[in-house]
Amino acid sequence: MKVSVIFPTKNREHHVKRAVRTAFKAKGVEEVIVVDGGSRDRTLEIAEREGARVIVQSDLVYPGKGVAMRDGAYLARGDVLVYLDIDIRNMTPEFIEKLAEPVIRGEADFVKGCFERAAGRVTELVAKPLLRMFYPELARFKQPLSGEIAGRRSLFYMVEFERGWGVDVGLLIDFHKLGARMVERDIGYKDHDMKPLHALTDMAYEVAGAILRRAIRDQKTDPEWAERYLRGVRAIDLGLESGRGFA
Amino acid sequence: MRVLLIGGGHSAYFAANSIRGIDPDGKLIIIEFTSEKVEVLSKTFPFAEVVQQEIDGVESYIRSNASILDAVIAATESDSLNLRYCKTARENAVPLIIAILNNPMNEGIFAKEGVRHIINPYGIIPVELSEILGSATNIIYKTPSGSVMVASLRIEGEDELQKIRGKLRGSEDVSTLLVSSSGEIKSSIEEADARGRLYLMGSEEKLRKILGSFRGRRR
Amino acid sequence: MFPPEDVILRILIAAAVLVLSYFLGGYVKSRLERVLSKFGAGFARKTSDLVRYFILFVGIAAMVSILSLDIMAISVIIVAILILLLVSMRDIVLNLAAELYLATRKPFKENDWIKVGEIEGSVKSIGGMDTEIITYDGDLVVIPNSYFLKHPIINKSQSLARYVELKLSFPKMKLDKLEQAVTEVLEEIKPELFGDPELLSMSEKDQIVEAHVSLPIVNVRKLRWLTARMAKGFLTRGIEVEIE
Repeated sequence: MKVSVIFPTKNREHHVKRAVRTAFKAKGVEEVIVVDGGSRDRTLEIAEREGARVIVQSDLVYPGKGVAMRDGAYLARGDVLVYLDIDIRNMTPEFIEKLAEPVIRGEADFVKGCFERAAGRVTELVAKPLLRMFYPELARFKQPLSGEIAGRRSLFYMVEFERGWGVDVGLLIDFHKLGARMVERDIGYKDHDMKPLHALTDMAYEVAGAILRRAIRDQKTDPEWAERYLRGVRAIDLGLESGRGFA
Repeated sequence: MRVLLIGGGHSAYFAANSIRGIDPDGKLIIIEFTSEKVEVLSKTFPFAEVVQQEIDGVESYIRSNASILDAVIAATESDSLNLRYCKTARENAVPLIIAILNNPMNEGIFAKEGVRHIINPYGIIPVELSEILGSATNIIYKTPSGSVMVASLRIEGEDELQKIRGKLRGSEDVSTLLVSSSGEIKSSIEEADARGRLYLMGSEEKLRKILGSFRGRRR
Repeated sequence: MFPPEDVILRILIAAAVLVLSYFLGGYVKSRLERVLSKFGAGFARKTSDLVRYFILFVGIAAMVSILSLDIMAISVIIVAILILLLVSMRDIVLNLAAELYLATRKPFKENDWIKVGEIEGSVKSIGGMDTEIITYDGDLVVIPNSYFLKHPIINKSQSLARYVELKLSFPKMKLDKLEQAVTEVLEEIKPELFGDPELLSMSEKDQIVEAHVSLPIVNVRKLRWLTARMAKGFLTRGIEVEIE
């Protein structure tokens, strides 16, 4: 099985050379694709020089990570796709191999990478609670928003790519709906810049939107479901119903 | 002509209608990926044969039909797919391959893959804005082969008029039309007023030489 | 024999000269490659490689001279080997010249329909050593680029459509009925053509009626398929035909 590594990126000229070279060193990697979000620096030029296939994403929107991921999937020729952030400072070929291995071995159709790092705020405060609410079967994933994923190319063509930050959790839910065998793989420590707090609002909004849209699509929000769910939630008895009140 | 149009979005819609106008008796095949869109396209374009194919299946379709296809037009919503299909068409010697870009920034990437006919649907924006906002020089149109260009030049003052007259003297291969500030159209530069917009048509090389000397002018 | 300290000095100088020629060769190669790149990447690379090897050869010769070895004998042997190689690889040298010719003159581009010698087809790819062409029958032909230096190239892609004339031979029958059949069959294949087909002439010759038609086609490879469709069209009308 051949592996295609896809880096969605924008203005990462200082990272691209190392990332592309590292990716080519991983076992089974046939091609490296850099999908550019409209860089103004030398990202594309360096990527091409290092032997990566390059394309600018079809729709220059912000955030456009999902558009880039979709374009990467469409351009790829490998049987297995591996997506990685390009600016992982401690990236090694093993990152890619660990992600691709379960798919290559036929043990899984979709792999979510998890890594040691400080808990993501959007993950802990938005993604996990909403997943627990609507897709409890996916609550087992430690890092549902992880952008380090791998999967069979043919399955990526059957799912919907959210345009923005909700793409990772959207793919997780959609692959689950397809009945794909999904595993989470520990890929070690990831040295990566975290977003500042003020930038997280957009991200949280997109993530919540991706989960809620799917919840509505999958009819998880109808009154019958809501009642069943709420019955399971312990309520603090303020005595309002019994009429005792605060008196 | 037998034309294969791949895609069912905006670009494909405009392309299908254009093809119908250009070659009303021709054979148009439209490929789409989803059955819902195939149904809609069949109703919208009853003159075309609408076929559903999976993403990977389109390449097989091109390969097996390459000997009878006259043109492949890649007009999907993804430049990645368009690039893939154009490459397959080129490798299988389809005579005419046209890509309609989603992102004009991909023009160079398509050209490197040997796609000769690349349509940038946003190309008209700078042209129209230039005309409306009165820029000094404006390239309005260039033929796909690049041999003929239409450009405009704003003339302000007698000095500029004399300068352009000098440059055009003896250039029988450049056609001109002047629209004065009052809206009057004059076909001869010799009769022109000192204010107006001059439209030139000629070879790209010639026009760029003429316009180049007017570069750097401000409003 | 030289004193030991002299030998060591000579070895050091010889090594320095060799290293210098290596790096000088590399530097000249990269500059030359950039300058020659306008003639094509492959040509630029090969020519600059040759120059680099030449500089290295000079460095080796200088090294041999410093070490007071018999430079004449070694040089003669090396030159003789080079000449033998060049003679045996004359086609490769020709290909290099052809690469320069194709890059500068550009007689055709990828996807053009060309005829060179006996080979006719669509250009699939133009490489440093050879060019791939897909023929009318769908065969892939790999032509060494030196072939283009020895045969005239006809580029048939200047216009979008080619007008192909076909000769249709029918058994003797009423001309007006035949003309109607030909018109109908041409109308049936019209969607596949670039414009209107034309019945150029129709005449009787002994027991045969000959008709000449002109078909404007874009994809020349389509011709066989079109003639098969035409034959089928005539057959459904009960008319036998031979199409050339």
